[in-house]
Amino acid sequence: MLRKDWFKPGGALGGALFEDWQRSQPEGFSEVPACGQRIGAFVVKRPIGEGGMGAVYLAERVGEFEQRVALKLIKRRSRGDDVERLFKRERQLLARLNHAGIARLIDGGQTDDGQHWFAMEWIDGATLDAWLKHSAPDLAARIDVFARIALNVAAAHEQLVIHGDIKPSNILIDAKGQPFLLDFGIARALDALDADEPTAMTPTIASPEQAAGSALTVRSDVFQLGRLLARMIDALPAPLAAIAAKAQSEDPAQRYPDVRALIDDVRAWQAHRPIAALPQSWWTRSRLFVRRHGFATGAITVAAMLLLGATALYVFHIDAARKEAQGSLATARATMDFLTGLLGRADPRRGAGREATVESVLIAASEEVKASAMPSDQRARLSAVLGEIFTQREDNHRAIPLLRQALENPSLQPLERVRLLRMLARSLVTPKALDEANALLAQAYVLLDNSRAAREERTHLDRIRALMMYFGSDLPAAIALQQQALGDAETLFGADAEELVTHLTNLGQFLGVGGDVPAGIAVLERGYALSLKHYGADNTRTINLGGALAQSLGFQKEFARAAKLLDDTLAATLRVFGEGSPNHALMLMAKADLSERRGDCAAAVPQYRAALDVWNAMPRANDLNSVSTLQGMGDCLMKLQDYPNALAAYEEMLRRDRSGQHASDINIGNRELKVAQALAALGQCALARKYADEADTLAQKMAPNRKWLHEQIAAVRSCGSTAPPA
Amino acid sequence: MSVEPTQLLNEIRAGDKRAFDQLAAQLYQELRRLSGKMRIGQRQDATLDTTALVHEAYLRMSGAGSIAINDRKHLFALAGRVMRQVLIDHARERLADKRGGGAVPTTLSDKDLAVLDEAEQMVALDQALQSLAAHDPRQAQVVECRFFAGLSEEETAEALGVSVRTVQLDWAKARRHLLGGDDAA
Repeated sequence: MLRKDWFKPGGALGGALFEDWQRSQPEGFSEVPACGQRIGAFVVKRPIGEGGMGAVYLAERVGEFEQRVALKLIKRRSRGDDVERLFKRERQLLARLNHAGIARLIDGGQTDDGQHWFAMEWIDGATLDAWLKHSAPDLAARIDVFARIALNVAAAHEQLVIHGDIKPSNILIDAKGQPFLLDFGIARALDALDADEPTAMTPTIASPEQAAGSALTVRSDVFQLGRLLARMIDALPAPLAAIAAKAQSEDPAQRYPDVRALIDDVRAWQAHRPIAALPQSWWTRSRLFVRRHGFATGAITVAAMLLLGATALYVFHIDAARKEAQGSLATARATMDFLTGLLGRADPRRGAGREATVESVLIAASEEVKASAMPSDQRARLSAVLGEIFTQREDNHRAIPLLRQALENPSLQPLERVRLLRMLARSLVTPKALDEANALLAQAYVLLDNSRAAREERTHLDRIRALMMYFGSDLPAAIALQQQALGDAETLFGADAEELVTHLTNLGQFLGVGGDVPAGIAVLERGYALSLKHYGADNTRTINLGGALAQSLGFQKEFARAAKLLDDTLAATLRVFGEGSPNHALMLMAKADLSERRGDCAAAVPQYRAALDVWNAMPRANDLNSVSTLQGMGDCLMKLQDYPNALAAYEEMLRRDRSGQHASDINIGNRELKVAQALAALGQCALARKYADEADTLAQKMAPNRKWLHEQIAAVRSCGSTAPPA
Repeated sequence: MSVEPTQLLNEIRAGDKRAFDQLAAQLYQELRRLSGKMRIGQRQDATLDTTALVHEAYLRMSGAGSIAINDRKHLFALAGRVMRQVLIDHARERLADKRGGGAVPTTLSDKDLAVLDEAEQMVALDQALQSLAAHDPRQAQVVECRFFAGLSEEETAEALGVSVRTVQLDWAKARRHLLGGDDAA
């Protein structure tokens, strides 16, 4: 029968049998302190957790002042004679560490039964893992915390203390988001205690040299920080992944030399500067450049549109000729992803240096495409995309070598090749290079079959061929071919298709130049309406058409409509491109041109000057547009009989023409003629004749058929012998 | 909603023996480990210490993530069952030693005698509990919680998902049953 005094609540745990059972348990189990047990100057309150080297308890100091500590009881280990000395040394080392982000060592010692313990500063916070899970910090916050952790490690290194066991459970984040590192140097102290025991370090965190049993170095901590970085961020952006990988290099020599260098690279990435972990590939540099400088909204829209538009077309065209193009399709898509990233990160709120920045990025990108050792297929593709962008930006000098490089790709599909040939021909459309451009077009036509895609491409080719006829001064042929191309495009794409916009733009201008301004206006009006419909007012094409239409209306002396259209277009220009953009300057030029045409040169000159100010603020003021502006300004000043200022404008025009990259291509001697005319007007006939001779040489070569040009040159050459020109 | 401890235990008993073994083995290890220095036998407030012990076992087990314990109540309920198993096993071991012949010391100390006495009591109690469980499983669980795990009435009520009054009534009935009281069958 059961005894009543035994069978009571908790009775099983209070009797001799239980005590006997407890005694029978292995000794190791008795190392756990009971709550309320005293260790050193501290009373154990409750367990907090357990790590590789022992259990951790919340404890409080007994006595006059309250102090909470994290009390760490180290698992019993084999003993050596020098345990005490080692422990003392490490404790002194740790006591020296006094840094805001490092949990301080407060006390340490041995329990009555010989267990080692440390009392560390009590940090009221969550472990890094818990913080990541519950606070769900964004990338920036994670990077920031990581950088602070690394700074803590760096500070310790400066005190000659190595951590050796950096891992999420050794990092606490307090309520303010401040990280604290725990267990500094303890791992090392423990290792020194007993080399024969398995290390206290977490195997997955340990660096290769630690795992191999070599001595801890600063670079071991660099390794662990790299691992921590990778662990803190799920989807590492490529540059950060490179940083983490470099930090975790197998060979310590390949890692960052110290933690500061690692932090510098992370900070560089944050600041969008190039990082040491990556070779200076062109795309990294240019993308970082974009991110660092940012873009204005307008410039982003334009640049991104150009980039994405070009690349999307690329992908589309490859799709059309897909047969064996799966590989290149993937490359093209990768290229597109890359380019999307290039501009996608631009900060739309930033306003300064917009066009210059886009320009610089594109230039840097194209130069790197030329120089760097990327796979030839990718190089060709990027060359094609960048070449097209420069073509659209009318920067033919930059477009041409890129397009040539793109054409060197032997694996191009026929239609891809046609498209590149067309763009290259389009870029070469200058009086100097008409023959080569025509030859390229001939090559392109041969590649076309009767597929729909080929027929579509043919309308584009025809458009460029018509443009060449125009530049080659065969205007009737240009108009005829452009009309045919427009008809074909209408058949293929429909009468309201967006593909017609460029055809209409060109045809309208041809007609206007050919003297049938009303017909030109009608075509441009149709193009403008289509462009408005498909692209809206705030679009490059619409803006260009608006400018061209306004100019034609000016020719027709419809000044009121022209002015209204120019004002609308200028407003759209400012929205799309922003103030101070090249397009802004172009619109100012159009306004000046309209004023001039209206006979109001007094109004035109300040408008030209405003346009010139915009050009001058750009890095390459010596391009075609600033030359044209100076020419228009000079013309107006001549009309106002302000010859000294006209001469100054013309001289500057010629200087820029000759030093610039773009302008001299279309100089057929007219620039020299202008200077000569101003000099003649000022009565400096000797010098005027010298310039006229230069003009004549060019004109004979470049434009032997331009009658008006030769007549005017002849007029200046007779300076001094007849009356000065009116 | 968490599973009722009773239901959980029933499920474990009926179906998933492996689940119980796994859980019990873990708790057994933890209890063994943690109880080492508690010297409960020398104290009056055994109940309090057991609670702390189970708490700590729970913290360690859930913290280790080695077993799916997300309900403290379940562990309390299991603690009694596991301690019962631990002590029964130990009692059988001691009694086997006594009967085992040559290995037994010829002279037994008072303490040894007390252990053997209690071991016999424990085996008897285990058998009585088995018959009680067949008659009223919940009463047996209340005994496990209160006698073996040292849980308070409130903790037992929480662990088993019943009212404190029910625990009190069950405990009284079980006690009469086991000690051969008035309404013993």
